[in-house]
Amino acid sequence: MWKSLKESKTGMLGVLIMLLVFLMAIMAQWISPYDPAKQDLMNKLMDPVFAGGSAQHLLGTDQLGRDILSRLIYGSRITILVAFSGTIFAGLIGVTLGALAGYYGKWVDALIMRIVDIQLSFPFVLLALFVAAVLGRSLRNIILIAAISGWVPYARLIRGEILSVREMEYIEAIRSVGGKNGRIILYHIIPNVISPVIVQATLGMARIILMEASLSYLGLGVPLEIPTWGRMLSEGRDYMLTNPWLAILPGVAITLTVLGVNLMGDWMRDYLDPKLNV
Amino acid sequence: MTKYLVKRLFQSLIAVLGITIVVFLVLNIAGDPVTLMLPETASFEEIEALREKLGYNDPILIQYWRFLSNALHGDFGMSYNYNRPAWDVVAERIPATVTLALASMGVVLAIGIPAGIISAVKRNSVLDAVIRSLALLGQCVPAFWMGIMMMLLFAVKLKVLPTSGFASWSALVMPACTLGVFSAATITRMLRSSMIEIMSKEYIDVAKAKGLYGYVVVMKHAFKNALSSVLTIIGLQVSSLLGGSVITETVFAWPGIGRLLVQSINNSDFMVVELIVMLMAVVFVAVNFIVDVLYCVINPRVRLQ
Repeated sequence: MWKSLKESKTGMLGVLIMLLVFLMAIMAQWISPYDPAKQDLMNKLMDPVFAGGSAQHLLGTDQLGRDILSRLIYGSRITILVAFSGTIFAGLIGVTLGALAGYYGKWVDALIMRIVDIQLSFPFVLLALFVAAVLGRSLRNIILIAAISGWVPYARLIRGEILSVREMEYIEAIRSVGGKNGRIILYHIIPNVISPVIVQATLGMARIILMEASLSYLGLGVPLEIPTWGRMLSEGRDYMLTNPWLAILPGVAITLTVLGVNLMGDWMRDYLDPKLNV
Repeated sequence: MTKYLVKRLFQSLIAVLGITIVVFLVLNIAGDPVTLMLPETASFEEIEALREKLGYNDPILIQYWRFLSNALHGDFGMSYNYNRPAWDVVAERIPATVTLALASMGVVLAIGIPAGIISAVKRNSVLDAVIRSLALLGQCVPAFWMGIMMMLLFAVKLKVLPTSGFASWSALVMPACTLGVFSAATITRMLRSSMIEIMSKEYIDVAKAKGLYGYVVVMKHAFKNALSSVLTIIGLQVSSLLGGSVITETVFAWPGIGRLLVQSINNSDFMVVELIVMLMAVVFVAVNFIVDVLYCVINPRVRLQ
């Protein structure tokens, strides 16, 4: 794995970006220079240091004098938290339902696949908006939205794989020595089909990050007092004419993170599934 | 083929029915619309009386049936915020969204198809590398941010395009590009890999060996076969265009149903929210049905089965 990563420059870049964001999120309270919520109206709307600002606030300050660098560092927490937990929950729901559908077939399969059809007929952002509007703003709800709007690809993937594995001889062999269904699924089928799920998970994570940012931008994300990149962007939009950096920096952070996830996903796809490599 | 299409139509209808159930249930969980209609000082008896009058105390199946039959008669309830039928409020915003969606679909096809073909044909060249990097970037940039950056560049710095609104054709340029960038990037990437796969087939070698010109081979033999996968992706991209219109319209103050949706969510105008969500989902199901029909038309293998 390490060798393949060293050979892939883009994969390495992706892993490094993700590592950086991850560390930023974990160590936010130690590395951020200021309290992200601390207002300093004397020093509001300062430019970043490379655009003529002072070294006191490296990336400048916002309309309330809050330090942009600190807010970006703290904002990464929400991004990482939502991306990881959303992906894990979506994966768990999807893998479970997909396994049930694929293994038991018949009406279980028909029912789950109809739910998939209905789910697929809601555009992703629309479903997220709808649920956010109805359930209200909270971190838990954002993760829930990420999970319920993202489980379908996993379910389809697992179902398809199981259909092709189900009739193989080794499954027959386990069944003939008395293996139970649950055990067969958990120990003998899922390990065989897990690598495409991991690839799907990284690509799904990119989508969740963009979704969280969009919801925050629209004011439907996590509660207002928590700094997020999407919210910083939407606040910065009002100062676009005088202080464009307020809108530029959070966007760069989002883009880089999504790029990191995608590059990592592309590399993992090549590594885990050489068949797919065109 | 007829049998397949009938089955497909039936599936679409089931999906539409499922959508109505989900929308109805979620809004029922959402809480009591009656409390929103009455002033906060209303007494318990007043609330109960209105609930009874509007039928919110009936069993849920009866409520759903009434909701469905009203919807089929074109009655989607009243917008609390505008105090007019929800359908009227939504209908007058539809042209703006359709204009935007068509324009951005134009952008998607005009960029995505040539870029995908060139990238596949000139595989591993500098041009290919540039296209691939741009396509990857296009999938990573949040649409709303790109919209704001375009505004900064073209409206604020260069002053060549208006920042927002619906006044002229030039106002359409930035929203259409913002909305289309993700889909254009997706189509470029997909078309590239499907063209590369097709270009390695033997019938392409035969076409080349016959001495056909390069572009004839690419367009008539390869692209024609890639068309069916492109069509499927376009059908799926309608979803991202519909969903993306919500954000793009908000960024550019475009007076379509996407922006109305966000405004209605913020105003708790649930009848309008419900209608827009259903409308977009139904459009999406319909588009994908049409895509499947076209799929049969352009792909003889499917047609003959």
